[in-house]
Amino acid sequence: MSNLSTYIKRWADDEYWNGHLISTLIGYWGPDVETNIALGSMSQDDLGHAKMIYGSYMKPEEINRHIFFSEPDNFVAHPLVLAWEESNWAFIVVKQFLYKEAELLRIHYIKHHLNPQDTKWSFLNQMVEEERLHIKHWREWLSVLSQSLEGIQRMEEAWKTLYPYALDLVLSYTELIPDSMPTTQYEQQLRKVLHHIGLDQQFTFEMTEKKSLSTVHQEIFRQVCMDMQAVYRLDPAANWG
Amino acid sequence: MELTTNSNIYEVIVQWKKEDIPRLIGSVRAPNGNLALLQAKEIFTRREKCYRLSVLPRNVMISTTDEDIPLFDYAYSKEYRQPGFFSARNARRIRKGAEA
Repeated sequence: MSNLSTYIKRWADDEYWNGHLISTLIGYWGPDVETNIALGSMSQDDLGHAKMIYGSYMKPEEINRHIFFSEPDNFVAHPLVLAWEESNWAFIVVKQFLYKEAELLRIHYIKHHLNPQDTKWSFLNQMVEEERLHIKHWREWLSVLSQSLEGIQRMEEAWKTLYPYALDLVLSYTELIPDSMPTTQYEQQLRKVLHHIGLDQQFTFEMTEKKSLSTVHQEIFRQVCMDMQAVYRLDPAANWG
Repeated sequence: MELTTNSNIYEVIVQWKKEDIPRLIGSVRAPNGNLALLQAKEIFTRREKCYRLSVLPRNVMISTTDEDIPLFDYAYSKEYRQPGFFSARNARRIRKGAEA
């Protein structure tokens, strides 16, 4: 159980920042307004998941303090979650596909530790259903982009950058179940989906060296984080109700 | 990538409860039917529960055109199609007319 409690903070930060970064697309950029609104709904799902996970070990006021007052370096979201390329839809699609598939597997690993009678974790069932729907959405977009040569090329580029990070995230599940092989399970699942779409020959599953995401991505993240916290920091005692 | 130029328009139909009649509630633009359905779910049922959601590609709907508008112009002039037209009084008048 101690493995789980140390893991939960990272998990919550991942869900929070994945939701928040997707939400920043709304209103200024996206393929079309329908997709933007759908992204808005899905990002709210992720933020809701984060709130429920934070709520499993923090009080509401502590959650607010963490989200709105933590320095960017104090968040422990995985680099896959923070990976961002503005206005690159193929990059976003591949990232969300890799992250969401990994997320569903992570919930499975986390559930392994829990007592099914403990109502504290009942939100996990809702989470699984919502994540399944998100995965469907991103698989469909993968399929749509695969219909043009340019789409495939852009996705291949994104895949090369992101896949090593996705594997790194999934490898961390061994902290939850030490003798398990989550990366094998993850790869099998990805291959199955990509085969169905007809993309299994396009993407490499070799464990290549991670390209550095650090400098550019951390700068973007720092800016997004400061923007998000700006209003709350003006008057933390304000009642926004 | 020109994503939206290849998109189709889908009409969104929602049935709020099992006993309700499905109703057209709007439309979405999407590259395929599956995405149209997923997007419709996130747009039109964001805050409400429904029994069934459907999408219908607009380009498969068979509709009348602007040229057909005059066909509907005479609807009100056919008083015999109005409910209650064949009241007892009218029936007598029609019968008398027929006998004469």
